Amino acid sequence: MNNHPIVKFTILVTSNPASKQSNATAYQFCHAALKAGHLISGVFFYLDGVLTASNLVSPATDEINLPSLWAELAYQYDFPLEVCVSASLRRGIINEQEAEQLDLAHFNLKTPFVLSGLGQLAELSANCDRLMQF
Amino acid sequence: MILHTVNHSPFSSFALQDCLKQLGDTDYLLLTGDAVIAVTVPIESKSYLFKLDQEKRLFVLQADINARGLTASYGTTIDYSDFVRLSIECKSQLAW
Repeated sequence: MNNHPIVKFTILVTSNPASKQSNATAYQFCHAALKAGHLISGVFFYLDGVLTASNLVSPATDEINLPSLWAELAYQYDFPLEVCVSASLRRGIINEQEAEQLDLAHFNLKTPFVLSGLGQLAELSANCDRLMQF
Repeated sequence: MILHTVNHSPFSSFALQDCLKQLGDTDYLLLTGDAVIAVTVPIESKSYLFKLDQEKRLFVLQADINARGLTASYGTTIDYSDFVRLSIECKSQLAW
């Protein structure tokens, strides 16, 4: 289908999905890369980008829902959505295990997003051909 | 060979000016988001951007031009699949 070699991308998303366009740009870049037959080895959400991992994001029905779009793309093409744990806890993005440890009543991490550390970003960037930051 | 990506308007941030100072002789510049405004109105760095365009090293994301109802006066307009191709052609990317 393609006459070019398959390239493995790691994507770094640092922007708030509600207030910055670059989060959506990153999504569309991934979409185009996958459509061209390339691979996404993982997407790492850092700084305000971690807000993409909230299960409670509910925009109006005529607006796009970036957390759901990322989740669908990750399911369809089977790549991990990694979220920086310290950036997340600072912004109220909590998984079940952390909520239990911190004695919090709720958790809101959307599946298939997973909390991980910057070490994971180092690993993703070491194991890819191109690291793209948005 | 680096793909520099800028997504801030030249009227709200120094990102574009800072990027131009660091741009290598073979590097590419891609304007996305509000940065596309740079090729639609006269700005201070226009002559430099124009020179980059003549060397075929200035790219602008067409979708972001359209989304703002603007028209690019110069620069190679590209879509997302071209963006992917550029990111492969360049050895690395630098986001400003």
